[in-house]
Amino acid sequence: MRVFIIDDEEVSIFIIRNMLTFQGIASEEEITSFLYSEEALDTLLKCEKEELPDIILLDLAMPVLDGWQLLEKLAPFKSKFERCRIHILTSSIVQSDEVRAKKNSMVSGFMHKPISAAEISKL
Amino acid sequence: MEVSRDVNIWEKIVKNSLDVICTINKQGIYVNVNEAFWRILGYESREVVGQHYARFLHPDDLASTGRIAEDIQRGSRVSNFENRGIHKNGQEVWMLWSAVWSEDDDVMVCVGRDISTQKISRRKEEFQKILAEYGADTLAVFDEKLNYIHSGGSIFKQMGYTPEQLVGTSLLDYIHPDDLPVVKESLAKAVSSRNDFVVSNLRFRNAKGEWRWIESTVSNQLHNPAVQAIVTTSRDVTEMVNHKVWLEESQQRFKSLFDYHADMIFIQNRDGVIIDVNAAALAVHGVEKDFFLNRDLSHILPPELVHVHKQMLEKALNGEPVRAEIELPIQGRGMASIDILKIPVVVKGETIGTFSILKDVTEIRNSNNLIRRQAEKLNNIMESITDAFCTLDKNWIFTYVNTEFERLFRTDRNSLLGRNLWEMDMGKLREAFQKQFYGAVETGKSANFEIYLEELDMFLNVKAFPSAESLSIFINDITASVKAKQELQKLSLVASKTTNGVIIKNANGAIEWVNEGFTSLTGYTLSEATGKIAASLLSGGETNEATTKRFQEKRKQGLPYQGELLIYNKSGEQLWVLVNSTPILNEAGEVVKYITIQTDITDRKEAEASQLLLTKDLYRQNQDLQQFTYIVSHNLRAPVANAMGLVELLAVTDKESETFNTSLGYLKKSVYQLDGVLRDLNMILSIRDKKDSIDGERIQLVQICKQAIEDFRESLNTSGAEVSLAIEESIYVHGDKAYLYSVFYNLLSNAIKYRSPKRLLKISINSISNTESGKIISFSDNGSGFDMNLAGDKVFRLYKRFHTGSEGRGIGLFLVKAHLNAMGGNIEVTSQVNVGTRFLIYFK
Repeated sequence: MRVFIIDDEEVSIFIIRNMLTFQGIASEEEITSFLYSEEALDTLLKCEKEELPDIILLDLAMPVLDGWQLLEKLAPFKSKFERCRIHILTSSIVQSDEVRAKKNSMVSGFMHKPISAAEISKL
Repeated sequence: MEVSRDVNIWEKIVKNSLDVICTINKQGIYVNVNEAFWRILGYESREVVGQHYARFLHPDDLASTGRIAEDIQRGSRVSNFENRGIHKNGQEVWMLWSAVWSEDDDVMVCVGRDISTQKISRRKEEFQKILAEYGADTLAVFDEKLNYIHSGGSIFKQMGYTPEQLVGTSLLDYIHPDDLPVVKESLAKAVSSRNDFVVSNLRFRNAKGEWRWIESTVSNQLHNPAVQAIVTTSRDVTEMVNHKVWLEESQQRFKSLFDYHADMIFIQNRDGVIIDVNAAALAVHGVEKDFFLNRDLSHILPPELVHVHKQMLEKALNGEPVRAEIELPIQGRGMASIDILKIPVVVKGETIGTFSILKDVTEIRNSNNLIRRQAEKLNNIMESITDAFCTLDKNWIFTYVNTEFERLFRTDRNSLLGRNLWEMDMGKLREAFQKQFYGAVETGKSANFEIYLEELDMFLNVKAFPSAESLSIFINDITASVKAKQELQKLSLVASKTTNGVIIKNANGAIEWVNEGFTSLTGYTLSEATGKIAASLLSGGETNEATTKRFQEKRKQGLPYQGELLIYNKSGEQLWVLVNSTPILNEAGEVVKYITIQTDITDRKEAEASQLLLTKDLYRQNQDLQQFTYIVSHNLRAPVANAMGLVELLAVTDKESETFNTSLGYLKKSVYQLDGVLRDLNMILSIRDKKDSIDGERIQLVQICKQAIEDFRESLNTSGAEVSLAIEESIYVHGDKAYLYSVFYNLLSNAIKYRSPKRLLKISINSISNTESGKIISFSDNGSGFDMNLAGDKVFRLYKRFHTGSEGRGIGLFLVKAHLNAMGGNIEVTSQVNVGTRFLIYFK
């Protein structure tokens, strides 16, 4: 399973990457991480539909282009992402973020950090 | 012998008698007749004897003769009995009988005489007598001096004189003096001539003294020995003369009428041929009479009119006058409208021709058209009068009613025109109308009065203008203005009692009246305010011009307006009023007045202002709270979540592995990160707490700035940055020195941190405004800048970063703003990617 991790914190990426490989969800090679969301956006827009990962784990609080802004930029190409599940993975415990995520049709799931083994198995 | 001789003699007498001598027996049978029967009645004796007398009598006389015969048989002696015998040749023969019954002979002895000749001459006399008395002519006989010798009885009937009155008098006494020469001349002529002649045109005075025209036939019978006189037969011809005169006059009138008639007249016979034409027709056509005479009018008319003419002629010849209007070309004038009247000429019940009177009605028609147009125009004017309008003639009959009148009184003109005003049901108005209208008509002066129409709840203004022939009445519905006036009176009463300021302005906005409330509100008395424009009187420096302009615009449009306005009272103090202005319109819909109510809302506005401040403060506090929530949810929890994740990872990771060591390192970092966030929170809270306790130390701005720059000297030098500082030493601000330092420290730090790798950093700090009300410092750099569209309003938010790949925590600009806000200042930013960033710092 191919996974993109978009998070501005190295620590977070380290934890998620290890959790995914440990759980056998994806191999090291199948995981691509982006510290800069604008780079992730660039990649996502450029790659072909079949090159898209199976799952994108998206952080919300990021400089320059936060998770919501990135989703807005992807929205015009929604059909391209119909087989690519975007899961929000945030340290935020604000209810409004979860509600907002549920309303966004691009978003397949909403998870709180740290990501648990149980949640990883559901991916 | 003697007897026998006597008998012979009697026989001879009987035989030769001119009279019929006969005897008739009791049965009426002739016994003897003499020869005279044959001479008188044509029958011989033998034809008569033995026959009944009735055979020889006129049937009409049988009865009377029978009765006489019976009388004679009874012994009566009859003489002078007349009857008619029938001659053998059938002619009537009048007989006069005397008869006696002879007892001895038992016969009736009759003697009859033929009296036919006497009978005829007696009738003639009778006729003459009747003629003389009753005839049309009067016979008169004069001596040679014209004295009456005899006059016929008819003179009485004709002239009122009896013949006896005239006999012995002179004819000359009865003749009109002007006619005496004629009479004398006629006398001379009569004397010298034996021929009869007629004298006409004499006037004879009748018994009543009137002059009667007579015509006399004069016959000189002076030479006739039996007469020896002048005989005249005269006839009263006055009627005839009069008739003749009338006829002549009539003919002359007709001739004059025909000759001098201004219209063209043609006389045509039954065939349509012109037999005469008058001078007007010749003049109009510019031709001689010969042009028309004996020509068929149809041959002269334009072809398109021939058919019309024939139809008219046909109708006229049937005894029916016809009229038509046609277009006819007239020499030198072009087409003219001609009115043709064709009249039949009827003589003794027979139409022998026609008169055609052609009248050029072009002018009349044009005038009529003009009059009609003017009438229409007048009607339009009448209709366009916005007042209800009607006219009455001198008999109070409606002669005109306009539409507004119909509308106002809910009637229609057809039910009014031709009717008398006083026949109308006008209820209580009758008395007022009578008084005013009669007054206007009697004095000739116009009337102007107001009335109230209860049924329709209307106030009307009525104006009546009399003229010689009519009365023009204008009625204007003034209900609206009267009610407005009443309302105004009521309003004034209310206004005088209210504590609000009430202003009554004229249409131009000039104050006409203010109440006591206005005076207590603004300090201006009625006399001070009257004639002034409210906006000029009450406006001041901070009065909103846009609002006053809006009010003026509304007033110009005649619309109501309202709004809140800061005004100044007489002492120059500010006060807020709620202005509510309503136009008062006249019946024409024009603004005549404005009523403005000013309610003092100063307290409310002040409360609103403080509430606004409170709201702003609450809003800011709410923003802060949201920031805190954000911090708690993201930045505070992020290191916690990481720590939790690392702990989970450590639990399942081989302790000898690199991952384990890395995890431990990250765990340490996360814990320190958590500490950093907690410290930030503490600092923020301390700024908030300190905000109200900043004592307002007076600080020289440039000094703080220099200190911050010095603290970054090493970094600045290393990066080759250039800082230009241009803040006057005179600029001081009130605030906290540490906060001020923080502002410049963080801005400098950011400038260095986010400098462009493409060029050497240039920082420019300079003051752009220094007034009592505030100071503005500009802080700009030529760094990498950021996208304003992405940053939006989040630039100064806590933990917001706009650059990736740098060590920024996203707290610097938050602190700059927080410190400035705490000192009552503010900050704004503009930035452009790869160009630079500029901050404008506002101090109180």
